[in-house]
Amino acid sequence: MGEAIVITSGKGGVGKTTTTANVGTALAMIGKKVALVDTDIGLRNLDLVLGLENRIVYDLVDVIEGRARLEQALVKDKRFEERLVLLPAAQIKDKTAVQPEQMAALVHELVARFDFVLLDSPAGIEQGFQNAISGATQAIVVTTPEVSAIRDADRVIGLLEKNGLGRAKLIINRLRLQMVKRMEQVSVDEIVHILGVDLLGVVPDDEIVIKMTNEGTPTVVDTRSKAALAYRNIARRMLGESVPLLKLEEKQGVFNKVLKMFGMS
Amino acid sequence: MALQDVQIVIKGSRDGLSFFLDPHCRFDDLLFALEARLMGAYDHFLQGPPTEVRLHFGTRYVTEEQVDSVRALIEQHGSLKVIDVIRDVFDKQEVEAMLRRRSLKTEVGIVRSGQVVEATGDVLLLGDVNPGGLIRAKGSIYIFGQLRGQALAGVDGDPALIVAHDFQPTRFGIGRLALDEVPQELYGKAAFTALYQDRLFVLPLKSLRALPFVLDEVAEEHRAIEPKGQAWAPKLSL
Repeated sequence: MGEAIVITSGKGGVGKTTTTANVGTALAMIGKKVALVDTDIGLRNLDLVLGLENRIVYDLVDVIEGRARLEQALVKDKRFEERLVLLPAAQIKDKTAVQPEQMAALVHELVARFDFVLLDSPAGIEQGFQNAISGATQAIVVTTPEVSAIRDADRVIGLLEKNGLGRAKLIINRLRLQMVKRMEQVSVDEIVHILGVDLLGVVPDDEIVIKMTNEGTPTVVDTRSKAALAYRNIARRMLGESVPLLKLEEKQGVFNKVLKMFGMS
Repeated sequence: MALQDVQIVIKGSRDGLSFFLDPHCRFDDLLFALEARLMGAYDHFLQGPPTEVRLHFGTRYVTEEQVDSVRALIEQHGSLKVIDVIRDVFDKQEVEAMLRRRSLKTEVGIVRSGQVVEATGDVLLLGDVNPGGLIRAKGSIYIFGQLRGQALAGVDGDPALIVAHDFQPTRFGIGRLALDEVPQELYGKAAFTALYQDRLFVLPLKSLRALPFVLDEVAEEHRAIEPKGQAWAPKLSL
C-alpha cells in the first residue's frame, strides 16, 4: 500500500508539473515504484516533460469512462525499468469529465500497486483541484519566492486543511540566492514562517531545468546541476531520511576545489 | 387606576436624582403621573446646569421606545439629563444577544488567505492571521501571534480592542472606523488599537495596563497635531 500525494500550488506556472516529474523520477531512481497522474484534464503536459508524449494510447478519462483498463492506459518509462509510469490526462475533454469520487476510486487502485502515486494538480482551486485532491492522503504545496505565489499557496493550504489534508509539505521552487541576498526576493525562512508548514526542500533557479524540460528529460537525471541534487534530496526526505538543506551560496571556484582536495580548506 | 395610586419616588443624592417608577400600573398612567409630578413642585429643576437622572423601572418590561418617551418627558420638563436606565426585566432575545456579546471564541492555528473568522463576541486567536485572512468580531480581538491580515472589531459599535503580539495588519478597524496603515514605530511590534473620541489609536502593548487613562492622556496631548484619517502612535513614557 503506497502513498497518494497531490502536488498543488494554487497559482499557475510555479512548477507543479516540473516538480512532479522530477520528484517522481528521483523516487524511481532510488528504486521505488512510482505512478504519476496528470489530473490537468484538457491541458495535459506532464507527458511532455517526461518525454512520453508519443507513447500515449489511452488516457485517464478513457479509464474512468470504461473505454480502457487502467493497465492499458499506464505509459511505462523504459528508462527506469518500468518502475515509473504515467497516467496521462485527456486532451480533448475538460475538467467536468471527471468526478471526485471516480478520481478517488482510481487513485485507490493505483495506491495498491505503487509505492508512490503523485497527482499533478491543475492551477486554481476549482473542480480540477477538487478532483486532484480527492484521492490524496498527503499534499505537497509548491511555491516560488514571490508574494503572489505565496499568497495563493496560503489559500491552498487552508483549503487542503479543510479537506483533511493538514500538515502539507512545502517545496520552494526557483529560489535565486543572489536576489534574496539583495532583499529582492522573499527568503526561505520568511516563506516557511508565513505558511507555517514543514519545508520539504528548496530548488534553486537553474536554466538547465528549462532546457531539459523542453527536451523531455527530467532534470534530476543530470548529476551536475544543483536543481537535480535538490530534487533527489526531496525524494530522500520523502522516504524519511534526514537530509540537510542544500548550501546554495557555495560557489566553488577551481582554486577552492584544489584546496579542498588537499584538505586545506 | 387613580393617578395618586401610581407610585413615583424621586430620591436625591450627591450624584443626582433617581426616579423609581411604579412597575405595576399601566404605562400610559405612568407617563401621565410622571408628567403631573414634573409639572408640580419641582420648579428649581428648571434652571441651572442639568441634573443627572437615573431611571429605575424595576420589574416592568419596557421597550426602547417607551424608555425614550420617558426620557423625552423628563428632559423637556426642566434642566434634567437621563444618564442611566436601570431595569430588572429584559427580553429573552436581548439577553441572548448580551450573552453572545460576552462570549469568547478561541481559535488555534493560522487564519489563512481567504479564510474568515467571525464571532458574536470576543475572539482569542492562538496563531497568526496571514495576509488575505480576516477576523470580524462584535467584540474585541486578541491575537497571540502575528496579525498580517485584516481585523475588524466591535463591528456593531460596541466598545472593543484589537490586541496583537505582532501588529502589522493590512487593514484594521473598530466600529465604523478602519485604517490601512500602521504607524511606522509600532509596525511589527506588540501593540493594540482602541477607539476613543471617534479616533483610532495605536499604542504599544505595554500601555494596555494603563487603560483607560492612557487614552485620555494621548487624546489630550495630540488633539492639536493629529492629522485626520491617519493612524498614529503617540509617544508614551509609561
